[in-house]
Amino acid sequence: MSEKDKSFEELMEELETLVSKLEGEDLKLDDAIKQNERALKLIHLCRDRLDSARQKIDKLVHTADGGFEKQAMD
Amino acid sequence: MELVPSPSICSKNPMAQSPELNTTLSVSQITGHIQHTLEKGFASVWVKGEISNLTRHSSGHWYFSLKDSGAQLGSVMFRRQNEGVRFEPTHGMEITAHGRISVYPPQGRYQLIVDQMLPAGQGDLHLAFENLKKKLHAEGLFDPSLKQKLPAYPAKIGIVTSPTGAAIRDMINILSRRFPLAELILLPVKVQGEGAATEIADAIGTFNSMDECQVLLVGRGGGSLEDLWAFNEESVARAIAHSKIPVVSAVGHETDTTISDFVADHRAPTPSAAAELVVPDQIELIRWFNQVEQSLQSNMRSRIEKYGQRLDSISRSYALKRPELMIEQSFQKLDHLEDLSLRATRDKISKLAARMDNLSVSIEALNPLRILEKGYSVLSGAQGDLIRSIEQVSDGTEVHMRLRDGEISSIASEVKKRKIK
Repeated sequence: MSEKDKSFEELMEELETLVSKLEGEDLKLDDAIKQNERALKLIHLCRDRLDSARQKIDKLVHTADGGFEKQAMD
Repeated sequence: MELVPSPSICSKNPMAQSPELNTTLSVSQITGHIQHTLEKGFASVWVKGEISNLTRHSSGHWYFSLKDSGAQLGSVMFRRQNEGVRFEPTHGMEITAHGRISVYPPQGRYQLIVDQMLPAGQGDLHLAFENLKKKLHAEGLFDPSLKQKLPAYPAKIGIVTSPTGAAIRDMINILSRRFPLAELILLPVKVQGEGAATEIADAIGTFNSMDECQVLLVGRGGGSLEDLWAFNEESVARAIAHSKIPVVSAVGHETDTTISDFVADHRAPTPSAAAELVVPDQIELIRWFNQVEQSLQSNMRSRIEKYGQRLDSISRSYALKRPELMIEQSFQKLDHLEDLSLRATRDKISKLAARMDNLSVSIEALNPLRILEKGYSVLSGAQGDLIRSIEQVSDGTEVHMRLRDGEISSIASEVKKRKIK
C-alpha cells in the first residue's frame, strides 16, 4: 500500500470511514484494534502532509504552438 | 397588437349610415371592452421612453409621462415599487420601464402602471438577461440534478479571473491560509469589455482539456451590470454547463446574480466566499485530528475494559457452575428419572394383574360347568356329546347325566317331543 501516491482526499476518506466504524459498537476486539491503529496512522500521515505543505501557485500561459504551459508563480 | 372587437359590435363599414339599435353600445360598455382588451393585451410590457412631467407626490407615488417624438404615455409608479429604484430619475432622462396598461373608465384614459424602472441602456441588458435566463432554464441547464458535488479536499484548483484586482489577491490569500496543500493554477482573463466572454469560456475549456483540477473558480470582483455582463453571456453559461470539472461561480457582490450563478455547480456570493467554500481550514482539520486521536484512544480503552468485564463475569458464573457439580446433578437427575420409570412400570404391571383377576372372575362366571353348582344337570350321550335337543334321543338311547356331585347312566324311554311355540 503506497500511501505516498494516495491523494489527501483519499486518505481523509479512508480515515473518516474508519472513524465512523470505530464509533459503532459491533466490532470484534481484534478488528477494533487493527482499525484503531490504521486510523491513528492515517491521522499522522494527514497531519504531516498539512504541516509540511508549501503553497504552490502556477500561471497558465500560452505557448508558441498555441497550447498552454504552467509557470510557477511563487 | 391589434384591437379585436367582436363582430356583433363592429360594423364592417366604419362610416355606418345610421345607428342601429342592437349594435349601439353605451359609453360604459365600449369603455369596458376597451379596458378588457388593453389590460389583457398589455399585462406585462417593457417600454422605453423619456421622462417628462415627473411629480413625486407626498404619498411617495411618482406620476410622470413617458414620451418619444410620436406619442405620450401617462404613467405612475407607486411607492412600494419605486422604493426599489436604484437611481434618481429626472425629467428628460431616457429610461426603460416595465409595467402594465391600466384603463380608468371614469376619465376615459389609460396609463402605464410601472413596477420596474431602469436607465435606458440597462433596460436592454436587463431584457437580454431575462430572455437568456428563460431560454437556458427551458433547456434544463439550471437543473439541480445536474449540479456536481464539490470535492472536499481538492489537490488542484483552477482559477479563471482577472490577474489584477482584489478578487485574485483575496482568493490566493484565503486559499493559502486555509489549505496550502491545494495547488492553485491561474488562467488570467479579461473579465469585462470586448472579448471577455470568449476568453472566460475558452479558459474553462482549457482547464477541462488539461483535466488536472478537481474544481474551478470562475469570477471577478464587484461592478455595475455592464461590468459583470460577460458572466451573463451565453458562451460563458454553456462553457460552465459543459464543464466536467465542477465550477464555482464567484461574481461580484452578494446581491449580484448572474446567469453563471444559475448554471454553475455552486454559487458563491463573492470570490472570497468561493475560496472559503472549496477548501477546509487547516486549523479546524488539525483540531479534528487531535479530537479524533483522543476519542479513538478512550474508545479503545473502554472497549478493552468492557471485554475485561465480560471475561470476569464469565469466569464468575463458571465458578458457580463447576463441572463436577454439574455432573453430579446430572447423575441425580438420571437416578430420579430411572425411579420414575421403574415406578411407572411397576404400576403398569400391578394394574395388568388386577385386570387379569377381574377377567378370570368373569371367565369363571361364564363357565358352563357352573350350571351344575346351581343344581342343574348336564345331559350327554354315550360318547360324551352334549344332548341339546330331543332329536338326539329316542327310546332306548343311552344317556348320561352329570350332576354337581355325581353321574347317572340311564336308558331313555317314553321320549316325547314338545312343540316349540
